[in-house]
Amino acid sequence: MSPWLFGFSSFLVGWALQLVLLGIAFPASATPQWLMLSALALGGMGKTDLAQTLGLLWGLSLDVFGVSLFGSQGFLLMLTGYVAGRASRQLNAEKPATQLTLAFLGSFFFMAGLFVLEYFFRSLTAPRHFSFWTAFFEFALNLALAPLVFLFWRKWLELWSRMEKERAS
Amino acid sequence: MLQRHLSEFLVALYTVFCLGCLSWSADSLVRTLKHTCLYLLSPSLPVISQMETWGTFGRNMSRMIRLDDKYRRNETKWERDKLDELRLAALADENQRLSALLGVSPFPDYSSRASRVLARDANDWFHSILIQKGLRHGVKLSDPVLTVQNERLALVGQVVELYERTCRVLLITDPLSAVSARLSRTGEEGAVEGQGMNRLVMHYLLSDSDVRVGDEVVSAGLGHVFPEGVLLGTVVSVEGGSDESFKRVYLKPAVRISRLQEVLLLSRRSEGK
Repeated sequence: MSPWLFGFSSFLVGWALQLVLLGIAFPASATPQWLMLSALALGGMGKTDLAQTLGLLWGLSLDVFGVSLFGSQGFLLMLTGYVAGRASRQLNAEKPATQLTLAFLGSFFFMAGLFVLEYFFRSLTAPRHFSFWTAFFEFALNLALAPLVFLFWRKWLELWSRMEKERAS
Repeated sequence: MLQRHLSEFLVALYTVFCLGCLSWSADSLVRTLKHTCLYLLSPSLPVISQMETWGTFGRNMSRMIRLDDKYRRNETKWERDKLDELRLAALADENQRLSALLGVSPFPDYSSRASRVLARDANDWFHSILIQKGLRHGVKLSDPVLTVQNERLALVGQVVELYERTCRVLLITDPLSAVSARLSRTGEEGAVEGQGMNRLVMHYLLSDSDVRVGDEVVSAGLGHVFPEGVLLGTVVSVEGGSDESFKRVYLKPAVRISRLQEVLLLSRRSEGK
């Protein structure tokens, strides 16, 4: 199977699931950062190039449909995937403790990074939005969903590997 | 070499790209790029709105389920509250009746105690009742029994059978019952007997008696069985003419026997506790 097809279908799957999650009502209008967790999961499983590329594309898609600066979320998700990929050599991403730690650090990095980028690159007169409870619930949702996301992407990768093997045989 | 450091190369490339977009976010090139991405992702717009619709549908469904559950709980609570309301109304009524009973100081020679009506004789509804006081409460045979109707004391009957905790009261409507009576307006005296079927008759009023329909009849207190001045009933009809010695006067009892729930038992102070 073409790696391009794999990458494209992975992008679509991630984006589609993000749209599904948008329809679910969570407290304080929080939404789990599914795409950030996906970039972490793919990076954590050693797919560094895939994680950072998909992270960039997902992030740019979020920027296009959102109110954040174009390139901010793309940059952050790309970095998330890269750092997770680099760290995957020292980590066992199959352990729930590792997954939760990655989710926690990734959430913090993402939120802080977004705040910093907004601060430096947004016009000084533009309003800055920050809701403590939204951030709190997003953290909580990310931690709750992290094991599921890791499991999902592991199964997805195994599915593609199986299809590759069947095609090769 | 590129293959070996592909990840680093890609991250550097992406970083330059993103920082360039951020730095020149107002630039027309970046805006064009943003619009291009929007155009490429536009097929997902209907999906987003559909997902939002499904999400709204899901939210509405869950809201409906929650509302339905809340409605059922409220309905149960409402039914309970209605029952409580009825119970409260009955208790309030009883409270009023008992207060009226306990609030009276009828006669200095008598002590009084309130009692609940336990049962009626099903064979003769208007003839006797069973009340919740007996020997151990100091009740004696022939003790008079009264009640309060329309804020006035009215005669019910007298104790004819005595048990440990209860006693039977013969009502004034029983044919065996007889009470010395007096017309309240003229003072003329006679005797009131029961006729069954919630009716009384007054005998021994002289043929030239000035009795009229609507006159009140009270106990005369003769024989010291019943206290004096207790309302017996109201005249509803008068029979007997000038060629007869006495008039017969029919009374409607003051006591609504069918509504009797609490009574007042009187005991003479020298005998009572």
